[in-house]
Amino acid sequence: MVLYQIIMYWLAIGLYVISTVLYVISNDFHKSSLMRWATRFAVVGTVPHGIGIILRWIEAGHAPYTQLYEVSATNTWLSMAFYLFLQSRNKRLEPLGIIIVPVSFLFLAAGVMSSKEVLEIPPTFQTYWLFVHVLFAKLAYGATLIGAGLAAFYLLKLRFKSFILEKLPDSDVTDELSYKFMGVGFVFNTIMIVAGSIWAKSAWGSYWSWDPIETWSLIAWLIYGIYLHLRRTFGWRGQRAAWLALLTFGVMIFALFGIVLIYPSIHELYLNPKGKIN
Amino acid sequence: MRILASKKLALILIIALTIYSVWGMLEPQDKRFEVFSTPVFYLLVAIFFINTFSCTIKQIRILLKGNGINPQYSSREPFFKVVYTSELDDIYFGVTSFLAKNKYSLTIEEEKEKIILKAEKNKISKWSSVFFHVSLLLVIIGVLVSLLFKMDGIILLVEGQRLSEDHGSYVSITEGPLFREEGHTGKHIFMQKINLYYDKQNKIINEVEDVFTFGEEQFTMKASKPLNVKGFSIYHNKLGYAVDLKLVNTKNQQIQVITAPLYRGKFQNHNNYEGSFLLPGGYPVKAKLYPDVQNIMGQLNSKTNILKNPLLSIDIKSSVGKSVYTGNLAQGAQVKLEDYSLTFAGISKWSALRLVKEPGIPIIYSGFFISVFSVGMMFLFPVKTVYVQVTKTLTGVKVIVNGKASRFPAAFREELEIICSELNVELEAD
Repeated sequence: MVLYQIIMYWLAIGLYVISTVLYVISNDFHKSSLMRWATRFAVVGTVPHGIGIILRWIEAGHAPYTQLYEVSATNTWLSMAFYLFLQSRNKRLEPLGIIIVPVSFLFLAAGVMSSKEVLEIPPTFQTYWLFVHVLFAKLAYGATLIGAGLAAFYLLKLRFKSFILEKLPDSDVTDELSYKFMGVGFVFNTIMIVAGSIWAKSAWGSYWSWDPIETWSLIAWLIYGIYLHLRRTFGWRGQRAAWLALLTFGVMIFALFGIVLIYPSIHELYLNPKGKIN
Repeated sequence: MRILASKKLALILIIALTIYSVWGMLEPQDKRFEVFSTPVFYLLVAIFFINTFSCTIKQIRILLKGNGINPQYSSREPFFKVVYTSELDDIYFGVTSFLAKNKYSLTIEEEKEKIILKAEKNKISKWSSVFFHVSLLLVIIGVLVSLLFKMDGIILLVEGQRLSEDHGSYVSITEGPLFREEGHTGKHIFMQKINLYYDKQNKIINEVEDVFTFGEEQFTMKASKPLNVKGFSIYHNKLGYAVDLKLVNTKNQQIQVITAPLYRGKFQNHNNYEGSFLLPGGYPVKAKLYPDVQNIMGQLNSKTNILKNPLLSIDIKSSVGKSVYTGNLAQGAQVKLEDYSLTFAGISKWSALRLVKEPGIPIIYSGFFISVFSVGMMFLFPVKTVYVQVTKTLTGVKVIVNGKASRFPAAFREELEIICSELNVELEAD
């Protein structure tokens, strides 16, 4: 079963790589048709990617949300699906693929190369609150990735001229779209923290225990708060807001992926590279 | 006092809390909890509470005051301006029916030969910021109530043991400064049975079921499904084995049976259970139980934490610290001491139950739900306002349209463009 998953994931990575190359070429040679092909390859890539996730789900007997192997596959699939859905609704967002697709295949490749051991899920993990918690963590990641991607585009647009950058909406609209996705990310992040807290209370008796991931999620949430406050109340727009959006994304990535590699945490099961439950 | 409701202060406090939290995470794990219990941290939270409260009151005042139309807004930098030849009443009717059809709620002010309309969508979202601030206040109040009135204790019960729910029965307990001892029920908790369930490979204890009575009622509680009973939330906290040691005197009469709870070891010892206790006569004992012993190159360890092939390793010293006995005992084995013999008679299980009373929880949860609801409103349903001024002039009826959105103005401008062109089509048709 693991072999089929790996084949599917590498097939998806291959398709995403082709998609990225096409995005880059479409930018360099000013070819809109190539950009459409790039998006088509990305769409096709999500199929083996999704099959890999389903195979893992069947093999593990639980939703794939433990360890880097499962987390990276589901997070990247959701952010790809998020992006592809958005660009189908608003074609002006299509150039975002040049950031979203490579970030996704790099994360997926990092996951595929980590431990593939199936972990038994403790009974306390089998609750709806955990499902809500995990789902919204992934959605928050997806929304923030797109928000930060748009912020990066905004900054690039100020400094460079390129075909892809010109395809994007006006700077004002790009800036506002970035704010919109960061705002949606904040909503999802809030739901993620709340659901996690309620689950922790029902499972272990403490709604908050200053666990490293908990605290870093709170820090990311506070930085979101600073970003939104500065935008809303102090009229921060443009470059300053874009840099802050990138910082927020950086802290969020650290809270999601970096913490368990540094601190011992009750979230160890989620990304423990050795794949052991203590 | 104005500074308390200052948005700048709010920003400074959020930054300060962020920096404090990052600094807290740099501390070693055992000190981390203390970092978030220092007077400095509480002071920051207290100022944040006062600031949020003051800002909320200020926002409520502004919202309650600003319910009318701002007539200047509609005429300032008009987004759309057309003069129609139709009658004022027809145009007025056309505008109102168009906006109503697009699900805008209308506020109308009529002056002489001039009508000003304020059309709003997602009006309730005006309150989203207030709701969000209220939710933060509720969470802080809930945490404060919990800190003051909380009781959180761990009670350890071996199978067949009965203890009363009193302060003294807990092996560890934390009580808030305002928790009253009458908060304990004094009722008996009797651990009837502890059932264990294993994983598919039979290697790990995957689920624990505690069957116990609390007062008169009997409960069956799985570790994964905590209970809410008699005002307490009850959780399965830990599981362990206890060794039964039977002491027999030289005339072969039983003196006492000691049941000593042993605790799960850490790291490479995580399948073994360890503990220290005193035997009658002042003999300190260190014991280690291997539930499923294996001998690898002379080193004992347990393959799993499941009772399959138990072995008890004990080290008994005299009251002056001299070694009396060191060795390994299988179940039923006996050791002769100076005053009596000791038999490793059996193994039983113990469960540690965590009993928690936390009166702030409903307040915290209300805060949580309001926060989710309000941030959802804030970003998913921003307030959209369209101002329309209809004026009778010498050449006809002048229609001026303008608008604003509480968030995402550039996107709203595109929406307003569509509204204006559709309105124009409709008014021209009239």
